[in-house]
Amino acid sequence: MNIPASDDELLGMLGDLLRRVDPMPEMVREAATASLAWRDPDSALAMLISDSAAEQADKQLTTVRGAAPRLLTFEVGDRAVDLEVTSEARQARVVGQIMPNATATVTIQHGDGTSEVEADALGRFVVNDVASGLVRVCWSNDGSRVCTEWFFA
Amino acid sequence: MIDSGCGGHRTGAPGPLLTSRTVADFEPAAALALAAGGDQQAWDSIVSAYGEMVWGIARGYRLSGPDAADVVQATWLKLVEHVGDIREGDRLGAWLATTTRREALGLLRRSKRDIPVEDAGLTEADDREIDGPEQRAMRNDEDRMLWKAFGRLNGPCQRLLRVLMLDPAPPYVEVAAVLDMPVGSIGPTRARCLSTLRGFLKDTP
Repeated sequence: MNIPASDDELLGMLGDLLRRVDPMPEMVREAATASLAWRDPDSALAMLISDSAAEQADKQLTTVRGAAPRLLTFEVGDRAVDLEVTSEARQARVVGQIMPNATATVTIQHGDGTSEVEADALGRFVVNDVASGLVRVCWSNDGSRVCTEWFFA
Repeated sequence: MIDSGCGGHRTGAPGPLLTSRTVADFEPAAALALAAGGDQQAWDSIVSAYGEMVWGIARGYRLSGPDAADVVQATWLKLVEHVGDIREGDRLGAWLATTTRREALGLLRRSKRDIPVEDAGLTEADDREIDGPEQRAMRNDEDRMLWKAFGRLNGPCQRLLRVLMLDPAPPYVEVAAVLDMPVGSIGPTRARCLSTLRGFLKDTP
């Protein structure tokens, strides 16, 4: 093939190719545009403070996907949630406990929509049919709302 | 982003996905402030200005289309979470790039690929799949050879060239912030990556 002599031309040729054959797909753009609808300015953002999957990967332990549940903890101030996520092919089962322990309506937002569940008096809840992919968990108690960061379940 | 004049080579009209960029009057700080209040148009202008960069960086980690789409979506959702926290508009590009990098490495780590994270992108994989519409966008053998040669570059080279080829080309200071590289090493690395690419093109039958 005819390779351009100058770096600028070669880079230009590459840019021309990549813009044609590997642009951001329209679906990706649409999802990005639609993301703003998830804005929830009245909720506090609970940050991921521990993730067993990351720890295991760091220790180079090999696990089979779906074999052991993944444990995640999100926290903001004195509010937190522990999650145990068991992933299957397209769905995940999420067992959680919010802290401080109290009844609350918990919503789990995911690719297939929103699942709502009541946490018991100890703050525990279970949701079986969470679509695999990006997920977050929100709840309210004492009139204040908390959402976790988005994570992959 | 403005053209630094450093390698901002233009090759004809940009593809249809780039025509909605309103770079000239795009003010990141103002757009962030408006988007934080829920202004969809301002948000769309941010997606238009940085969408290709975020996609390019995710693909530069050699993620498949669906994996790159997940990483990109996670990045935009994180920006929605923090849209009110980023006050300095000129930090937005670097913030997005750092978030994309973190999400890409997180995905590679969770999926427990057999390659160490540092080497992600270093394996040669010239059979990198291209699905339907993209395959049709290949015009000739020259396109296929260049794509194949690009796919053989290591991850850091792919990411650097992906960012440098953006239209408009970001200034080197932004490239440096986005890829977390010293400004002074961008020129030499660019030359080295392009020289490797040339080598691959020459030994392609």
